[in-house]
Amino acid sequence: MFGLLRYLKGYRAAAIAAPLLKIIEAIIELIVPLIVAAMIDGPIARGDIPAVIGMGALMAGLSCVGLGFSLACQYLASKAAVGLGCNIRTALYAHLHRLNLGDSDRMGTGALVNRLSTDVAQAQQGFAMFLRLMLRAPVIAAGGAIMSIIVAPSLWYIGVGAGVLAFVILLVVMRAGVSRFAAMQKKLDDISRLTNETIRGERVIRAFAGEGRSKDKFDGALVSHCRSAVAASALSCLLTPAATVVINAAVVVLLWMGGGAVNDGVISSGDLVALVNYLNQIMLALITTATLMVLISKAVSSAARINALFALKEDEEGAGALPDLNAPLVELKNASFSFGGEENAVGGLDLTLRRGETLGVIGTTGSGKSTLAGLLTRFYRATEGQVLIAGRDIREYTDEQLRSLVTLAPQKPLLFSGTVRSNLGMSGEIDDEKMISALGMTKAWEFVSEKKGLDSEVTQKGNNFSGGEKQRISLARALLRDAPVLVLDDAASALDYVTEAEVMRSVRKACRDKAVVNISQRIGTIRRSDKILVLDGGRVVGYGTHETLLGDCELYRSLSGITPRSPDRGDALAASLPSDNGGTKDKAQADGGVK
Amino acid sequence: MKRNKKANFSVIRRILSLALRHKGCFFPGMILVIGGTALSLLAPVLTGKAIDYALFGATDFAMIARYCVIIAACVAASGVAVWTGNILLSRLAFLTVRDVRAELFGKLLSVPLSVIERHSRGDLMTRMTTFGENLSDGLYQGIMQLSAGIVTLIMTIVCMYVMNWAVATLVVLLTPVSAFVSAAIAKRNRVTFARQSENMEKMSGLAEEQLSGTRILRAYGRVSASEKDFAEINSELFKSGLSSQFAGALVNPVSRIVNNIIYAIVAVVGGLFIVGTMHGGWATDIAAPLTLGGLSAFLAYANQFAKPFNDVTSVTAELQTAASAARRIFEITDAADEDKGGSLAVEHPVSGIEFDDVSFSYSDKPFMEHITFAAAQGEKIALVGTTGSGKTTIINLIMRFYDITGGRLVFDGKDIASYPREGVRRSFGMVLQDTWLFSGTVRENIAYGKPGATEEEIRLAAHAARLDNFIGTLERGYDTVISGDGEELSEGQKQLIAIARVFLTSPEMLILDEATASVDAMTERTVQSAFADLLGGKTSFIVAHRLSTIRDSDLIVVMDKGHIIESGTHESLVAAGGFYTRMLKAAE
Repeated sequence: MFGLLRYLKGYRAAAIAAPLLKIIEAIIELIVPLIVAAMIDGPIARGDIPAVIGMGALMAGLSCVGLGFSLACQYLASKAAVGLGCNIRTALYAHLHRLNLGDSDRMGTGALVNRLSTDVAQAQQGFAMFLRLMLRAPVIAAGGAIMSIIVAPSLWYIGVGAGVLAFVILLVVMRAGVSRFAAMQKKLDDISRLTNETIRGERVIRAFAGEGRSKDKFDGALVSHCRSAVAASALSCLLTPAATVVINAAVVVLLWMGGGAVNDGVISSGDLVALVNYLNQIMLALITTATLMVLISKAVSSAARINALFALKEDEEGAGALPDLNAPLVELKNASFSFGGEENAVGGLDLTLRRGETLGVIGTTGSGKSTLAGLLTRFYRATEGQVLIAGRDIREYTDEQLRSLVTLAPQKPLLFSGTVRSNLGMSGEIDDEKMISALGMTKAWEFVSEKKGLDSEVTQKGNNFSGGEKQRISLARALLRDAPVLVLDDAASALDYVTEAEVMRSVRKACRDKAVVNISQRIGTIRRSDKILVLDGGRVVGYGTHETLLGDCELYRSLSGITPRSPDRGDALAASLPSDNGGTKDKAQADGGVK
Repeated sequence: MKRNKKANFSVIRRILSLALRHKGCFFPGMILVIGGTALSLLAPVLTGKAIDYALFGATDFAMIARYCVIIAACVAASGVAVWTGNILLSRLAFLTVRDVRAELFGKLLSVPLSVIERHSRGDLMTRMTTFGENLSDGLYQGIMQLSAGIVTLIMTIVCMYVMNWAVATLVVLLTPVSAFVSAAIAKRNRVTFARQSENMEKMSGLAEEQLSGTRILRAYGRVSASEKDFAEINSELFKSGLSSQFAGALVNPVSRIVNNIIYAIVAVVGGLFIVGTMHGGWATDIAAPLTLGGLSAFLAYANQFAKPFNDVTSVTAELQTAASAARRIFEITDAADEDKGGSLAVEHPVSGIEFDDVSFSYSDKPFMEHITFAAAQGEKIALVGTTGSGKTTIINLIMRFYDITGGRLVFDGKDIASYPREGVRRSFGMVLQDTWLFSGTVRENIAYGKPGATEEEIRLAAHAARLDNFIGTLERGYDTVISGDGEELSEGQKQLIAIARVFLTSPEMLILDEATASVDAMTERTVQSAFADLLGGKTSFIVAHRLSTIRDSDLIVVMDKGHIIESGTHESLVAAGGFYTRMLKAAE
């Protein structure tokens, strides 16, 4: 929790002033019982009615002053907490866009958005409560104890004893409570995991008639969640009654000892009333704290999750380097990459690509194709070997330099809400004519012009376009960048064969003076490339032209549909087909290696 | 708005009837909370009485001692009662939500797949977790605070009237001011909270889109532009967040000032009554005498009297959240179960499966029409076609995950609906592209289809699925625990486990739906050879990933946009030179 306080910048004064104001308000509140005591011993005992009313007015007046302080505190505390939340969000958002992509893929966008929304809100709320209430409670409790000593020095031990005892109970219970809440949360995670697992496996479970077993397993998780939840709440339920019992025990002692003191004239009856009052205030403060326990423990665990996310490493920018335009544009020297496991996602890549050349990369799902795309865009950094762009190690460039050298069109066409123009504008190109011509090259203009042309609306994630349409817009956006290296990561996989062939033809034409890395699962897409790299399970199993590979790469042959037994060219039929969804929606997209 | 309220009311009634299943927690819990709260409210009166016996030079120690004992007893009893009562009520809430979750989970497995697939996984998960939590919170807070609040209200009024009717009337008349003020604030809060959550949603939406597009933003150098957009929404969020946070923070101080002023008034009026009792006697004349101890008790009550009103206000909000959460859960639990199918026992061997002019649609729009083909016993049927052509739908219909909407689907000579769904499903072994493993050991995962399988059977199945080598490399062999998504395994290994599963159940017929699409080519060869053993003369339906693997099928059904556009053997299709041939050629 406290680790996040570094994001309090700009709101520090408010965060400090708020509890101070609250403390002043608390002190004013603590004066009231003194006035009551004075009223009882003075005007009431004398029967001085105007003085009674006067003192009542004084109490009301003091309360109003207290309200002023309290409102100021509430405002400042709200400001500090909300400001803290906003600062965390800003920093976190920036961090997430610089986060190592391996980490962010592993966590998933859903979890990241959750941190940004729910967890930050939770931490913010907890901080507000901390400033507003958590700090007030000990002040009231300690103040009450001090005041009771001032009123009746001889009975000091009652207020102090009650306060200390109650606080010890509070701390112990809260400590235990936080760990029990964490245990409960874990059980809740089990419930959520099993639910997820079951929804994912609906078909298999039904096919094997495993419904009953799934239910039994889930019931087990439910029972243990219920048990740990009751255990956690048994503790949090204890706080209020415990505080009541402790304070009333103190009242009993006070009555007994105080009765004697009044008898001996050490304190007055009014003092006794004031002392009871102080004990009651201590009790109310403790109860307030108790009700905050759940909120605070939630805030603490949210803060821990946020901090864990902040602790993940960001991708580092290079110091900057001048590209050597005579060197090959792309060069991989024994480059390998692993996501941290024992096996490399890709291993031992060696290749060279010059201006005007195209490299086709082919392989099945999971062969490491997308990892290669990640290496060329520096989304992943080679764990062994070297990746050179325009003669310099890719790590040396600043982000901006690298982005002006390498452009990517990904398999998942990422469009953003706005217009077609705003999406194409991301390339840095602002000329409408050029945009339209790029859309024409990718055969996207035909459906874009049917709508409102460049002003056609794009809804969130481009969901108002079909997969193939999105890919064509995304491809046009990539063509608009004038970076010399273009990486197409299965960028036309959702197009039918005829359209794809036409699109690829115009892409080739448009990129004559670029180095293009064209990654695909289809032979047809890449067979005209200058060089073809065949990947399988992260290893290079072939490197050459279409013709040479047909001769010496068995996998390439089988991908082109030629079985080893019948290498008859006339029968060289077959294809790797795009995966089929058969009408069911939201099937996980077959993803190339970046799992 | 009104209808919404009514709906909420009926949902709350339904939740209560669920809670009443746990009578053993419900009634004792409520009685203990009510009784305990009532007892604790006696403390101020008793304390007041004791104070009256403390007099300068004339303290009645015996009476003080007596009251001390009574107070101690009351408070101790109340503490124990409130605590156990609270535990029982929270147990009640957790048990109820446990029931609801169990029912929801059961529904996830018993409703037709179409119901599940209408919702995203995240949506269903939220209903199970977050909404479940909302429900238990609301139930617990609702019962606990309402019963404690009401008893506090009644008890306080009774105690005050017993002490002094005049001052009591004053407090009773003044307190609604506090209630009114807190209700007014709460109303204002709802507006600001609504704006805040709207902005939160906007922020989440933007973050979702931009973070899932981070690759593009990075590759195109647009991160700082995106940060600017985010900053804009974030500053909106600051404004609305501040006003909603501050509005929420107003409740306490404002209700406290109202309370404090009532406190001051009670102190003054109480003081006047004491004066009236001692000096003039007019208070005694109107049968409303007040002692010092009485005043002390009144002050204590005045301090607490606003609390039940505030509690009731906050409970309303909590109950609303719980009710709408419950409604979202009930939406699913109220869905009708999938019927069990007919009662005819499946007899083996199944003579064949026949589609006779079958049509099917996922929605109002017809998707699949005029599907006619037959698979005789022992035949290998391949389904090919482009994305979305309906291959997987055919599988869904055979497995009875979905029901045909027209035509006839014949299973072993009779309408497939006359057999129980489970019986039909169990006669197939199914391997899908997206392998499903669950968190458990390798052994449990292999034996999923046959929980009682012997060690020997499992070993044989693993052997047949070419798993020997892989399991040999595992430190704990068959007892290795794998996580739910099998992250630590390669796609190929996962697929082999799924195949072993099918080997173990040795079903009569087989379905392979893109079973090797995610497997690398080297492993695919292993998997294919395992398939070859598995298939051996069985009736099988294969959705093909690579056309070369289904060349030897008895029947190749070529689909496009929900229709069969051609069918036949590889040779006859190539000879016809239609869509199939184009598909073969296009890849070249």
